[in-house]
Amino acid sequence: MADSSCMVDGVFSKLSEDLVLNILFKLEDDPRSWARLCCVSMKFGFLIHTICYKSKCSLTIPAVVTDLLCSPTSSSAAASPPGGWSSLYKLAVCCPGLHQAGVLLENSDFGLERELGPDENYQNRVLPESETIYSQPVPCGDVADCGWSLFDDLLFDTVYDASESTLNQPEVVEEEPQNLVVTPTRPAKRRRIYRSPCSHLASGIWNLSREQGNKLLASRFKGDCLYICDWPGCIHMEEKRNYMLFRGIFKNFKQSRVWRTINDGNRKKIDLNCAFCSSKQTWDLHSAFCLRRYFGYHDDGEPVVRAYVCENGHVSGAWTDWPLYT
Amino acid sequence: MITLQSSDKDVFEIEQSILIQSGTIKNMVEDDFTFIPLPSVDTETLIKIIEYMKKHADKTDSKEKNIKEFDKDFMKKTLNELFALVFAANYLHISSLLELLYPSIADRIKDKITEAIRQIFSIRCDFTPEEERRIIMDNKWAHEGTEIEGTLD
Repeated sequence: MADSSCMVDGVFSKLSEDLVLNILFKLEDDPRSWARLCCVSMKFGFLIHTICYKSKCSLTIPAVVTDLLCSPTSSSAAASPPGGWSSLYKLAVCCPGLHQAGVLLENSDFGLERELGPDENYQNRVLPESETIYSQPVPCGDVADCGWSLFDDLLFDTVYDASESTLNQPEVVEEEPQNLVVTPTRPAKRRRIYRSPCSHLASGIWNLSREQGNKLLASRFKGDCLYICDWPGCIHMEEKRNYMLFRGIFKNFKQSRVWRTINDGNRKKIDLNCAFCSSKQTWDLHSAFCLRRYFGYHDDGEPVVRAYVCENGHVSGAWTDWPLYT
Repeated sequence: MITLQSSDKDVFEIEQSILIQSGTIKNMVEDDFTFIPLPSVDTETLIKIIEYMKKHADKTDSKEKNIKEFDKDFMKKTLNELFALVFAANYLHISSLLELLYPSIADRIKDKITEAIRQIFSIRCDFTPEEERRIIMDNKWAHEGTEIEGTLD
């Protein structure tokens, strides 16, 4: 490879690639070292991506590497896994973070808005300004056109509203139209984040296993090969509950039954980018019914387990503790 | 006695028993060479290499601790000096010196910010602004939670 990235008068420029690699391999214990050095120059990036990451993945997750490189559609092995060696390396050592594990997505409607689209009647209705998370119910009889829809039934049947504890509310909560605050979407959930919601070095063991993947997928997908990091993954203690963030990768994702289900079902992608490659959108495995059926929801609409998969078969997700009642 | 000549044409006469720690010199001695030109090694670096080999020539038990102390001090050089030693030790096939140099250099660069690394290695940033933005984003996780230095040594 041409040494175009090095200045001529530096002593370093005289060193051959194998000498540079010998130095780089002394930094293999802390994954952040190589990742930072990738930002130095194209040559460093090239050496680290094609040699260091490949070597380290082959050493630490050999079964995964073998599976990802063998392709059923061609007799020769692939040169690199989907998304490249840097994606696989990052997946092995990096937690996707609360954001890319989908924890920060709005869930108080059980994901219905993402599934069914926004409710136009709800959007057109003005809402009182409120500090509470959920809006107050509107008694139909007092408002000329309440425009009630299935969306509202599903939302309000499952949402706890403190005002409902007193029966026969004496008056409509809504004020005169000119005093109301028009909000096109429901007020955002307040969530205190105790650390950055983005990717970071995962706590726990950096390993991927098929056994963990089997526990996640519904039984009709048992023929698919999904590697997931060891339980419990990277634990994030948040205000409401703990999240055990996990990451994983499908073997031959586009030949998998999960993919056929998503594709045949014409599932829409959501605007949640993959934490491990450049895919800008992902599919929600929970709402595509790919996860085990007994994973339900918490009473605030949050799923007990969620997982998202990208075009390359990279999976990010979060376990939570089971609700205390079942 | 064997005579070594640096790239600067300086000559050094050293006992054979010390120099055979270098695989390259050992091969040439076995072929009966007594005058060995080293066009790839300058005088300053050759002096250091000879100093290292002299210390390591006598590896009796009593000297073990002494040698370890020497090695530790020997690595206290600028990074450019260490790179020159890597180049020379590789050419001369002195594997024990290389095994000392690699972790020492790695240790010195592992906590450095990108710009400091570029200056240390005299590397120009050859990313386009868009490429640089993307690679920093992809590797943002690696920059968090660490104490990164901006120094050059």
